[in-house]
Amino acid sequence: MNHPLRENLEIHSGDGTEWVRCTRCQHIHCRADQDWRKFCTTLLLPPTKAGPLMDSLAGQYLLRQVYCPSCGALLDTDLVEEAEGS
Amino acid sequence: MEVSPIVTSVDPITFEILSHRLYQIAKEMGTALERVGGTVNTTQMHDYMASLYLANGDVLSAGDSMGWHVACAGFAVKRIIERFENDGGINPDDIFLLNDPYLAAIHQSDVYMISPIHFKGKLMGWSATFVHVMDIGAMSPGGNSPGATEICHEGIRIPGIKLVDRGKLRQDVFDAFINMTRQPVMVGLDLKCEIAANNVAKSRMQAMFETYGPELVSAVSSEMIHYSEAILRKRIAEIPDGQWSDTGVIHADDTWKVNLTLTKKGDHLLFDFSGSSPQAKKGINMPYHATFGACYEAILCTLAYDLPKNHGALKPIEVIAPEGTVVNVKHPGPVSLNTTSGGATVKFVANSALTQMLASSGKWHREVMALNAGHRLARHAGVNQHGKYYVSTLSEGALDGTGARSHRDGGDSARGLSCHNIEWLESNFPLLYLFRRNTKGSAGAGKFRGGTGGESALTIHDAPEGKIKGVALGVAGLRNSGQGLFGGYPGAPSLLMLVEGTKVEETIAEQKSPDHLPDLGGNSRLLPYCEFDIKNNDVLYMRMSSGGGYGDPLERDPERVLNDVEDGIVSPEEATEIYGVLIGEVDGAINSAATEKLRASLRQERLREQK
Repeated sequence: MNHPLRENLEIHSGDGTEWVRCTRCQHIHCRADQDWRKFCTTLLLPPTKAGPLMDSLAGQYLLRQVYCPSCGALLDTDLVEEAEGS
Repeated sequence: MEVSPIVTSVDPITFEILSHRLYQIAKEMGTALERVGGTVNTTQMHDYMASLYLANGDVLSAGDSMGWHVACAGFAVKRIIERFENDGGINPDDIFLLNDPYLAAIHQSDVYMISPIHFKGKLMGWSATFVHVMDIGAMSPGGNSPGATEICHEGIRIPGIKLVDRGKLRQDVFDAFINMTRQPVMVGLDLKCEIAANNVAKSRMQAMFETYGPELVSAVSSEMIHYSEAILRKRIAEIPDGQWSDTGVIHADDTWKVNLTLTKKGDHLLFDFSGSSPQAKKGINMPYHATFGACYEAILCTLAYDLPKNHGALKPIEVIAPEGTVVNVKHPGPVSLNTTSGGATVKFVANSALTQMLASSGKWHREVMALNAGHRLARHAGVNQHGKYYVSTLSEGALDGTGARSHRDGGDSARGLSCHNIEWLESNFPLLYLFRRNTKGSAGAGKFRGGTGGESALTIHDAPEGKIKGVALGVAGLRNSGQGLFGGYPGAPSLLMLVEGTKVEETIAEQKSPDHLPDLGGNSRLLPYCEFDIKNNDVLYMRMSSGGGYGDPLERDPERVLNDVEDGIVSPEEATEIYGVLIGEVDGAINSAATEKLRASLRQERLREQK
């Protein structure tokens, strides 16, 4: 039986195994016991990509975004320290 | 798990009437605090707690009070029982005072007042209140002391004392307490409003015992707690087992992290804060009971949102917080800044882990929202235009935007507490507001966007000394504010900025509006944890946090984006670049075909270059 994992992601049961699957394009990312982020596309962007008022974060933080590698759906956005992101 | 939430020993109608009456008594205590109190913290911000307890100190009814204080006051009741049951006695009409953070309080400024409730000579329960008193005799006015490196710098610390003895105020104790503060009259009012609220509780509870009999009231009390525990355990059990984690960060002259892993197994929740930073020599540290209370509050706001707020909702929770860390401070670690720093961060990670857990549930996954990692705020003190020394609060924190949910946008300037009235503030203190408004472009983008936070700017006006003192607190560092959820963008960071040497007086003299900061000139600097002076022609700018967004902005209904552009919440450039929505320059309407094409192109662009 399927159950949600988060917006645009679900746990899909098939062939006796549980998988992390994109609900927009049905792309299978990985097994449910794996870190789905490692199977996605990740971009590090200037914080101002989230709006001009994020300018005070420049030089300290980056905007990290994680996308479905198949359809480009945005799955996660986070602020990470530049040292952590590089 | 089989549960029996239906009342078994009391008929359901009587149960409903009496349980709601217990809720209303706690609410009425809060009203008494507001009406008798005199400081902005109590009367306008509603920074207080009022609740009822069983004879053993277990939570009976929390009204609408802040959950972590309800839990901590339960610890306070138990500490009072331990200290006084064999030493001085617990007598009818006594009232006890406690503000020791190592025993039960969160920080010294939050003064708990604990009152036993007797009926026909027998101890039946307790009432408890706190208000954030306007001063506590610490290093800094207002109680939050950025310079404190140990608890002894942070003011009066009382592990339990009898303030009212069998109905008679101990004037010697009262005077000793207020005499150690900078604002004895206002702190005296703070204490007296707490006495009044506890008297209201005692009077109402005794009337209830008289009308219904103590046995029936006790039976309803037990059933209420059983009901909350049973329903909560059932809800937890329905969610798939798993582990979720998050980390919160405070930056000032050092970096402190709060790590949390939440483990859900069966009907039990374990909040494990192992790996959090060692305790700081800065008052951001949390006592264990406060960390526990923050987790309890997170439960009350999520899985138990509609249940009677009582001890039943505590029982499925276990909290591990290693001693000597920012989440379980040991002597002599300071705590005075903690509610709005370490506390805000613990609440953030607790709610974040719970949100991730709820999202994995078929039943609860729509009941999630983006969360706020805290904001900056300030207190102020000095000589006012009436020639009197004062201490007070700038309560702009109430103007945070809230996070987006899975099905709706966050609220603009809509946080839980309330904000002071500007006219009231200007008539009492030497301050002049230049503006207070929603911050344009601050909300986190998403399928549903966060709420915009407020921004305010003020200068001093008619200050006899030509300056006043400010105290900067909150979650320092720039990763505060609303954090996005499931792809949603973060809100703009909350800032506390001092602009020195501006042209604000000249601008006002020329009858120009001082509502655009860059036009005022001056030198600006962000304020970490510190005391600072606001002098003539200086401007204090406060930007509160804005809500994080939920989901992918490219999935937002273009009509909602258009509405935001029309309302000035989102600029036309942001509409295009972040939301992929094209709005006609001439007709102001959405170009649907071009929008669809642009969104497809932006998705492809995401995949073109990967790390």
